[in-house]
Amino acid sequence: MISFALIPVISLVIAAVLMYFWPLHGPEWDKTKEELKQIHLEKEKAFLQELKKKEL
Amino acid sequence: MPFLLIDTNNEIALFVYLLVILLAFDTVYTFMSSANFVLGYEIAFTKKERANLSIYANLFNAIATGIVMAATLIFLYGQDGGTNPMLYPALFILSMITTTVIITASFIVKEKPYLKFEEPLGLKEGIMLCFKNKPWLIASFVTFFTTITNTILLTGLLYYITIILTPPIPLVIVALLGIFASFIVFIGLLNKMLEKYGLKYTFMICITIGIIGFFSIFFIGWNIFPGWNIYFAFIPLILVAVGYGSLSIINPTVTGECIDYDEKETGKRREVTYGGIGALITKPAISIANALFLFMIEFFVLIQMQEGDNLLTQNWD
Repeated sequence: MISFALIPVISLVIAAVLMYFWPLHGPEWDKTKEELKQIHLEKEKAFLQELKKKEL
Repeated sequence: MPFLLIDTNNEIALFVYLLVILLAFDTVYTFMSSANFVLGYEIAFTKKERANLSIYANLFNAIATGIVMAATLIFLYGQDGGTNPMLYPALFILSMITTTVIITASFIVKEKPYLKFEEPLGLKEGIMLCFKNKPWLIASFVTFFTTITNTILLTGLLYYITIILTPPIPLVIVALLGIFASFIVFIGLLNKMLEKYGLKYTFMICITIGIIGFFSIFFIGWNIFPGWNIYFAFIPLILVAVGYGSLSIINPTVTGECIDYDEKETGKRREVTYGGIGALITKPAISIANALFLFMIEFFVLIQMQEGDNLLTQNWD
């Protein structure tokens, strides 16, 4: 029972404590995600335009 | 053993043969799982999309695990108790079907076209930048400890049910179905929790449910009332399945956010690098968990042997 129940408890408690310090949350991070989404769209647009130019 | 090319009576040759086969298999499997790892983060970008994708991936994974377990039970033993003559043909056919599906799927799935033309970073620089990604470092340590828990749960569940709980088999099936059903119901709530509490706090809630589950098993999941143990263990096992199962769904989403953070810092998508370095963290965790679990079992069995217990009637607790 120590190996099956107690080791997982200890591991998960450590994981929970570490997760408390994980910084990627909140409105500021949501804003960054939106910016990244826009960057992806722009990269895709630029790539498609480049392809069109080559076709012409 | 018709598929072994060496003399099975020679232990050293058998060890080397199995080691080479395992190395070859694990190398190919790592290639495949790295590609699979990348795919999810390219297909889905938001937390909700990634969690949904992970739910489907986990469900298909559960079905695949079920097929493997059923196939082993059906084909491993023959009626005389020896190896079933259908075992090798069944394994061969199953592996051929799955390999064909994987290869065919690899031709259908395509990555985002513009990513193919991005200049990658050098090997050394790429690895160094991973270790400068603080959120990823934290998430990796979290993964390390959750992988230890996952491995012990999967390795020990059978020991726990058959040796400590010792219930009648039909009751085990009903209990497992009940636990699986609770997990499915909880998955339905997971997206709402993600919207309400965000990724970090949903993850922490799931970890807390898992901790309560394992802790309850430690206190009330013992062999106290023979014949009734499964009822005492049922609720803690539901908590473990719900809490820990949800972590396996949310964990890839956490890694995805760390890779997005890396893109913000470096301007490049580097899922493959993170997939490769991530394997360096999860694989030792699996080995440590198995070693720790076996060491603890052996340690307590040895103590009981010294105390003169009968190994056949004892509980390995």
